Amino acid sequence: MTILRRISTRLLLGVFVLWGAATLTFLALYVTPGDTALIILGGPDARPTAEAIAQVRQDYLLDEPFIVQYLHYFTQLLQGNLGESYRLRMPVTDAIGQQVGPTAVLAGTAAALALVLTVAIAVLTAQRTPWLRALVSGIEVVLAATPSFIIGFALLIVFSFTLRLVPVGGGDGLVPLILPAFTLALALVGSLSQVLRNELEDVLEQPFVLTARARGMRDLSVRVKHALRHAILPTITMSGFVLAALLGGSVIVETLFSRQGVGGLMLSSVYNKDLPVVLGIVLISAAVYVVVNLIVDILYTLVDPRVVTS
Amino acid sequence: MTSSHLVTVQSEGIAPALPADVSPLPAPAPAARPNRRRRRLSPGLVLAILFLGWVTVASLAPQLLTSVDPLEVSPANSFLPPGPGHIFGTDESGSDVYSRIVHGTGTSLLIGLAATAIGVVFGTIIGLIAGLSNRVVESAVMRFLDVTLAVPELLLALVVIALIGGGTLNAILAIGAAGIAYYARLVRAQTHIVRQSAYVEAASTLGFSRLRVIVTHVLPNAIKPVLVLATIGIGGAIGAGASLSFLGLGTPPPAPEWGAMLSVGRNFISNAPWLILVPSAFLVATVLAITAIGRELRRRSEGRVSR
Amino acid sequence: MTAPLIDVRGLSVDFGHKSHATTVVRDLSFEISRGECLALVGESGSGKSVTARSLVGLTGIGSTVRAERLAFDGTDTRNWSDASWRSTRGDRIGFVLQDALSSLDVLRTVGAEIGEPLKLHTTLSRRERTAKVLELLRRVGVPEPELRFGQFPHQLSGGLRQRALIASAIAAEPEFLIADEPTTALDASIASQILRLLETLKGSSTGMLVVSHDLSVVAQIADRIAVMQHGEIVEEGTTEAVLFDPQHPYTKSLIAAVPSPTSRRRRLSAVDATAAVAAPRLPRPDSGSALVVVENVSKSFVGADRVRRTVVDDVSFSVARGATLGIVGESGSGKTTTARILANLENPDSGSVSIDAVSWSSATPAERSRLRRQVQVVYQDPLSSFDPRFTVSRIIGEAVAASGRSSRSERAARVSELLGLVRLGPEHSDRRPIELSGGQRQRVAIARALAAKPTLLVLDEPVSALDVSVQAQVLDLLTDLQDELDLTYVFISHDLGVIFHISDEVLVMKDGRIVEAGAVDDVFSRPSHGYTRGLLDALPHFDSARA
Repeated sequence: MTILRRISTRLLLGVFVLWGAATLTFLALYVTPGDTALIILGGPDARPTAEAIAQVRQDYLLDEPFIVQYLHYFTQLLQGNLGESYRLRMPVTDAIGQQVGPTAVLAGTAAALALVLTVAIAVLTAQRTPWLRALVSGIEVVLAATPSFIIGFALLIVFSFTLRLVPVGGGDGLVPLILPAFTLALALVGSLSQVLRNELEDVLEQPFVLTARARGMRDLSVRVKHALRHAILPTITMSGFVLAALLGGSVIVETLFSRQGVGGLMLSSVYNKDLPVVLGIVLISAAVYVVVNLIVDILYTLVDPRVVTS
Repeated sequence: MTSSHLVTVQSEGIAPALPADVSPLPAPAPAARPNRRRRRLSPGLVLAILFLGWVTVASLAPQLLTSVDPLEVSPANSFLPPGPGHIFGTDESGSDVYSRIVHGTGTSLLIGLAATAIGVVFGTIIGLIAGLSNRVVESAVMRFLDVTLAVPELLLALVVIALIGGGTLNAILAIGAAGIAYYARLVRAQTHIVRQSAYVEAASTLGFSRLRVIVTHVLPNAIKPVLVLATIGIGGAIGAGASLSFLGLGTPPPAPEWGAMLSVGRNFISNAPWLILVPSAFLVATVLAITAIGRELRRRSEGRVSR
Repeated sequence: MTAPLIDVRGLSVDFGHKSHATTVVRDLSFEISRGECLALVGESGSGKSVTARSLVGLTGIGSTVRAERLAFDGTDTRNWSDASWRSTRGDRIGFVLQDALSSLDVLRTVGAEIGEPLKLHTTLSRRERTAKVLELLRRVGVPEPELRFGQFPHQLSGGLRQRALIASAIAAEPEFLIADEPTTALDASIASQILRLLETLKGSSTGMLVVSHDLSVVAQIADRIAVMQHGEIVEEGTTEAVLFDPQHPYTKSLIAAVPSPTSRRRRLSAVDATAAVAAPRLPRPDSGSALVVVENVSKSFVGADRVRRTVVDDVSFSVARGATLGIVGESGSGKTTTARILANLENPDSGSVSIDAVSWSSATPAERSRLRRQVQVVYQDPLSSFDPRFTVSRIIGEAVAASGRSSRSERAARVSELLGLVRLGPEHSDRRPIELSGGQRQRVAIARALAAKPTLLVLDEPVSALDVSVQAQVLDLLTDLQDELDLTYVFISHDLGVIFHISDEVLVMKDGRIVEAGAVDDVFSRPSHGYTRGLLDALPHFDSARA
């Protein structure tokens, strides 16, 4: 199978996933319990007039047949329009656009931190003396079993309240990013480094590693130049998991550290049943997932020559 | 795909997110040594079992462990640090934290068990339908699962809550629903592995009917490892329930639930850190104990010797 | 007198911690001089590979090496630092492992792999290294070295890969070369080419250690042979002496266990090899009634690259009742697919297979399920053919239940009868397959196949994964069962020796076609096809010289 064919297959699959996600999103909007017009007008407590309700029903095409609403939703979507927020009275894309920056910075920093920590821990602890291995894997298991908001609490209590190294919140620049990024990264590292080390230990048992050692290569070179490339392959396929953890985690971390971002927007929209925003965020995260997986697929073919040529 | 391991991954607290692509469950490693000796339980495992015993008692009969009413309000006694009388201190309303912990155990365990059950039951049904039917049905189901897997489980749970509202029961439904796709994929992958295995072929050469082969060989071998993984998933679901409560979308605050206690305690983190430390410790210990037992079960079912 | 290149005295290797350590190599002593090739021969678990690795300090984590002397070129290596070892490995000692696909880093090009020792041990520039690697590729007989240089290991054939691996081991011109099972994963004709290559590398100033489970492999290149059993050398001597005048009973049984054309009608697993001529097999009833008739069968598959390949091409043959048909061929020759079509595990694209005058394709459902029981299959890897949850008695019991209604006690009785048939005791019945040895697993697989009272057994490489002494026992068992139960066998193997030992008729397959067919003696003594002659040349001859 040629690399082009492989990528185009994946691309088609990605488009399908997005279409499916959009359709499910629409269905969720369509079947929302309660009168959508009432929610748009601020809930039953707002006591809107009959004219206002009629106006909203007309504006939002609520009285049109299913298929008309579906097609309208889709044409809007193709133009990059995710609809109008019920609560914020602005387009969903604008609402998300205002918040996406801080979340992207947070997620990106956390991902980079997680990658560095994972590789370092796995390379340095694979196939080492039992007590070191037991200690590190014990820490990993605890990290993996700990919900991220508790990791965040722990970091806050230690570094902000006890050691007073990092201020609790606010401020600009890198300092307020440190604890949130570590919180998000540590939750990932617990899981990822277990996987990578297990892979690495399996690879280090392979005959080609013995061949490399028998050529007189030093241990660290064997690990980094030969074994790591093999071990990282299965870990690459976990990128989807990593991404999900970053996006889901940002909701919690942003709440915990009172940061601006998409997570906070998501949460306040869930509180207020502002479905267009909730579903808009879901749709965008699905799109990010599809794109990241496509990139991962291309990366995979670059790292592993067998995919293309066999 | 070169991966052959199962990985233990708890995602952002929510359900038991193993990466979907990694590792359908391996058959017992052929290299495993003939080893019939019962392995002795490690001290950590004994501790985990003892702690889960405590959790079970606290869930079923909390009054055996404390006689103090977890909802008793006494403003005069608020924010008492841990000490004699209140071993874990009191909270902002003067309620005894230990009593609230004990009475909150049941809710957390219920969320974990019920949400995992929902995920496993529906996931298994969907996975078996995909794994055992023809290619058209299978790819239709799998593409649908692809769609749900494209959304992080926590966001999926939040969507469900946006639709049906918060609360303990809805949190269970949300967490359970978010995990269905994961279990479905796992069961499907496992079904495929078992169906293509030489022992299923061997059973067919003996002249058994397809149905009989499915019932005696495919189903048990496809489902057993998923059940083992679900054990680990219970821990993840408990964490997820607490996360939702922490976000104010699960069990609402006056009730003694661990996540809700943390949500409130967060406001007093600088002057009454025990309101965070104590529920956190119990939450982590519970998830950890369940994970440890699940991992041991998995290790045994894979016939792998622990390293 | 100069010191030997390798001088080992009292070598022991333990694995594990003090309290439950297992000794894998025990009090071993040997020497290798320059210009000499020593072979370590033994079955799996004999400690031969560990011994080889102790010579490069790579016995691995958890191992403890003790020795009175462990010297390389006169220098005792026992207290060598990691740095001393590193500067020796790859530079002065080369190391070749089996199965080059897993012994070369598949994510790196052949050129990078071969050049690595040069990068580590020489000061050559990149350009000089490239030139040297190309020269090495030529030296080990790899055609088109410029093309191969940039390719990845999986793009090379098994034989070329093994040559590339050897090239990387000799890149830095080592004085000592260790080859651990250098030909094990290779087809017979490729294996003999690799052995010839290794022979050319033996120089007057270099020493070589070859490790193998296969006496016939080492017979071709070794000057001296040391036979290992349970971590000890039980016999050592010149190749001639060990092969033709073995002293130790284990060596004798090992040599007797090798199946070959000359071992026909002889028990392989006889305790005393000299008294090997046991009851000769009954002459096969050559009544014309053929049990199996295969006519013009073809089968093709579409590969992952969407190219259709014909795997079995217009194959016709028949098997007489009570006879053994051996099908021999190298990997990819279509022999396994032929077997699967015979057992109706695969449908042919064209042609027909009939068993007992009933064709699979036109059989009624009732005939089909009768045929299913009549034709049973034994696989190369029995473990994967057992449900991992089942015990031995349940595995066999299930097969008994499949062959007709029976009460629980009847089933239990039949299970123990079947266990007895394959010479397994009742103590095995509650074990799981994973707890059995390879030979025991294959016996269970045979018992399960016999449960349905079949007339035809299709044996697909049934002994290929077994050590030679276990292989001998299983082959003897199959011979006995055939006489006792009047079975017909279709026996598939890549090993010509095994095929000649067990078969009455032989089919030689290549690229999906039958290139030679006939009675085993005719094919052996008068092969008509060049391919068969090539296979025969690659066959070990050391025992044909024995009177």
